Amino acid sequence: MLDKEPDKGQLFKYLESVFTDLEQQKIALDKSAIVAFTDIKGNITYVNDKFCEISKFSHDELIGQNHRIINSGYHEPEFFRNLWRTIAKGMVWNGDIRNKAKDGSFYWVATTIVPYLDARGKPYQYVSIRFDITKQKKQELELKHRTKQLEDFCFIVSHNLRAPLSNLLLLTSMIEGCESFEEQKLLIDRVAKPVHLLNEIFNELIASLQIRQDGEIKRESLFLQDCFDKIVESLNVEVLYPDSSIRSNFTKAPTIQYPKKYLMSIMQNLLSNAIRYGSPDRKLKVEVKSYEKNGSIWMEVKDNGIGIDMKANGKKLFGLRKTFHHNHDAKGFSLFITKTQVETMGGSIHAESELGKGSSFYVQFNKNDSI
Amino acid sequence: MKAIDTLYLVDDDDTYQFIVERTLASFDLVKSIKIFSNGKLAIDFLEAAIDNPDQVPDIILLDLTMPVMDGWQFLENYLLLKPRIGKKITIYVVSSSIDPTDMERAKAISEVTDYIVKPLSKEKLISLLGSLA
Repeated sequence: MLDKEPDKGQLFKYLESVFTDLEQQKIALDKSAIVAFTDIKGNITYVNDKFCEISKFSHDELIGQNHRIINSGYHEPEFFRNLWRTIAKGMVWNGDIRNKAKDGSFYWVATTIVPYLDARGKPYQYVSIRFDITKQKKQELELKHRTKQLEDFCFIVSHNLRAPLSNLLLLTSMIEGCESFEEQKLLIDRVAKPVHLLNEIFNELIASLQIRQDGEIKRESLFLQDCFDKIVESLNVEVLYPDSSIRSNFTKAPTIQYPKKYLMSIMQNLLSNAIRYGSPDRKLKVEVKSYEKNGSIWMEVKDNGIGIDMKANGKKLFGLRKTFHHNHDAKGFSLFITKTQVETMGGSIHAESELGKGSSFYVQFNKNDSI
Repeated sequence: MKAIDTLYLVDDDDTYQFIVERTLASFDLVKSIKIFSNGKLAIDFLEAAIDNPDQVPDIILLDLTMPVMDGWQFLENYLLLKPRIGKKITIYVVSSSIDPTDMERAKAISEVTDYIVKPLSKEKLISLLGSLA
């Protein structure tokens, strides 16, 4: 500050130092933040390089445009009404906004908008200062998703384990309170079933958790046909289902680089599903083939079974499911395990089905997997 | 305690069916117990028995997760039948699910008296039936 009436030279020096300070502050701000100025209607009058960089628009494409050009349509109209009400009153607004870049991609910015006020206290322009928080927002959403998944997992596991466990508790207390030996024997005979069920559910649970720990599981060169034949043999298909026809053709994509454990498990789960949900009205026919499409290796497992009501159950198909007690094979984890294995290896799986006609499962093993 | 005339057990778990049946028999709590392995079997039976008060239940123990027709679908169909039933029926949902969305959904249905998480112990079963008599 100047403490007495300055002469011209002093004033010039003083102003120069103020401008230099301001210039330095602007450089500091431009280096760190995404900055834009707009007029009171929201038309852009200035953007810095960081704004152009993140929005992927050029300086010239932005100047004169309304700020809506980067609106992503994500927020409710009320969100922006509130923003405008605040700054039009001359107050500072803070918040997180999702914007849309020129190429259609989205980015999140922590935003502060400060009105510049005239002598009467009315805004004549606004400056917005933003910081890119896209990464944090993504992590936040991912975390929410994972939390929800874990919660569901917990509920399903609890449900599926609770059913046989509560039967065991009740049977045990009945055995304890039982007076005749005959009666006791009868009750003890009933214990085996829930114990086995509990054991199977537990094993599947361990298997599905195992996948998450495998992380860097090793790929090896595998012949699809060899693996499939082993599965057919292990399921004892010829003996147990002599009427069924199981055909396979892996000539279009005969080999794959994949973890053997996973490939065997995927084949086993899909084939046993096809067998389990065979239609009582016709002989079971399963066709399995591999092929190359869009640089990936695919496997298709097609059956003529009872089919799936995709409208009612399509979304839940690969999720964890609560189990039905009457069906001993369906413990609710097998398709979930399959999906987790496929996705862990960078692939994808989906199903098509029509009730009463049959189902087809498509596994895309991994993108750009060469033979 | 007065015995209850008719109880429906709607649950696909045969071990659980066995347990409930034996517990009820040993205490002489219910004159007649009918067991159905899914909602469809129960609703079809109820519809056919609607004019026969002996066959219409006083109490239904209903599981949620069942094949063919689950507990929710059973309740929807029950609501349609209800105006034609000339008897008060008490329904308890008895499930292994501890998912709060299941619990809230069940409690929002006025026909459901309570939601019970398995195991349904002998003591709990007796007190349920006792509150009814």
